[in-house]
Amino acid sequence: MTMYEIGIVDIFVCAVAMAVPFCISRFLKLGLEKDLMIGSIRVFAQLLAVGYVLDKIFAINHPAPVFGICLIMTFVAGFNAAKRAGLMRARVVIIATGVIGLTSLAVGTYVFYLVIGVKPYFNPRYVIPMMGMGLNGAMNGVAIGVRALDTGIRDNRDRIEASLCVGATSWQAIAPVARNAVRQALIPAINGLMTAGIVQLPGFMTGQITSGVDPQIAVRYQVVIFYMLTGIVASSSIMAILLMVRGYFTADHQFRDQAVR
Amino acid sequence: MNEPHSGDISMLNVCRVKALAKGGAIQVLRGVDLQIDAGEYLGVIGASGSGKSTMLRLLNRLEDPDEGTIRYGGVDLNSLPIIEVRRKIGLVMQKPVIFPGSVIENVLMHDIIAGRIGDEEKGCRWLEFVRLPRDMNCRDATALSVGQQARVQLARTLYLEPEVIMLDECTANLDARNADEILDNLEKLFPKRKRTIIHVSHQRSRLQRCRRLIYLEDGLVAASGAPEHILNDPGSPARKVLTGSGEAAQ
Repeated sequence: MTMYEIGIVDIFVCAVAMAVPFCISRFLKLGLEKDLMIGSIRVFAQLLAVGYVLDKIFAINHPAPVFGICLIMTFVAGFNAAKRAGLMRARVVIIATGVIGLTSLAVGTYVFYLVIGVKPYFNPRYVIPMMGMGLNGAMNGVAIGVRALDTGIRDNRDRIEASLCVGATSWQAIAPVARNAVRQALIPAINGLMTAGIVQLPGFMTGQITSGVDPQIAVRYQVVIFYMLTGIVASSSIMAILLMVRGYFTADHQFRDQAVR
Repeated sequence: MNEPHSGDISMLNVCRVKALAKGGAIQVLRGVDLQIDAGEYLGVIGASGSGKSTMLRLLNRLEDPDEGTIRYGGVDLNSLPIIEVRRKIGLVMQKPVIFPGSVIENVLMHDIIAGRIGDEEKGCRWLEFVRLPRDMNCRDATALSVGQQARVQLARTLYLEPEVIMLDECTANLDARNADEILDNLEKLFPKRKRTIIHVSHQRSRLQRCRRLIYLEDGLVAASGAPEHILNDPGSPARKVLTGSGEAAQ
């Protein structure tokens, strides 16, 4: 099978496609031209840098840089989850980083060593891209879940207090809002499961097929990734939501003033 | 000195500071001293921001005072189990809060939240008490009028059979006839059983029913006495905050 190489010039030729959203933004006065321009440059620079780093890590073939980069990715994912949720507070960043790291590590370990049987255990060709996908899924799930929880609490403050007034604990009072937040966090992952192969050909599988891997094997990998991702998204968002709930209430089932201000 | 009755409430030098959304803080209560006897029908009046709702929230322990103590039956409120406090000292909020579901589900909310079925017959009796027909129990509560929702909310609190019921301007959403009849029912039931009514209102006709009226101003009890004394005295500042009887305009 022929692997077609893409040169730097080819990338610049392809960048012409970015002219379409740029022109639309200009024509419809969307004000997105600057973001599109910065985004185009950033994706190029960031991925080029990652490619360079991966090259080096593959060459070193040692566990330290593999797990080091996974750790950096975890911190960035936690920070970004809090930022995307619009809740840039130390507590949220710590919770997001902790649950994203913990769930990705737990589910990743299970998949890498029990399902795929990755050897050596730090094999960067498997660990880094698949952990990246897991961390990205967890980041999105946590951001959506935590945001939905915060918005739900603010929108339903009267109902939550009315529940507290009739003798509910803070957990009982907040249960409908928390349930909805978990549901919101899981919807993208479930939609991915439902439409995989019909509406979209997932990225990992597409990458493997275009690299010459047998589609049957690529598909099996993709199914494993979907299961891993759903597990990570569900466990990370539920854990983040449960930990976040504690921050909204005192031990006496009262709203914390500063949490809902 | 008399032993406090199990339903007596005393507030001693109660202060409450609240954080503001824009930053900073405001002192809502500045050292409230108040004794409320079990079975009393107490009216509370005061301008917006005078601390009326905060006072009720402190008694229900939705909030805690920053200074001072509140005693219930001679016992520090903070030392009592909080769920029990909220069940015994019921708060009916100003704005009706309705949960998605039927009328009876709203009334039985205390049991439903705890995973119990609830006593439907008892719930229907409280619906009738607040002048809603029992055949309304299956109706969608969110589709009711504001006045009907206010009554469902009151029935939800009464279902707990509280020893103290605190009405935070909740009769403002009711028409005069229904409000009077519900207050008549409460008046017959509560004081007779040594149960207390605390009624925040700006309406003269509602406040005249009370045995005692307090006027809150800037987080302090500025006046306390018989309603006719506080409401009829031409120099009384309480008259300025009355509605529905022309005083505010005078």
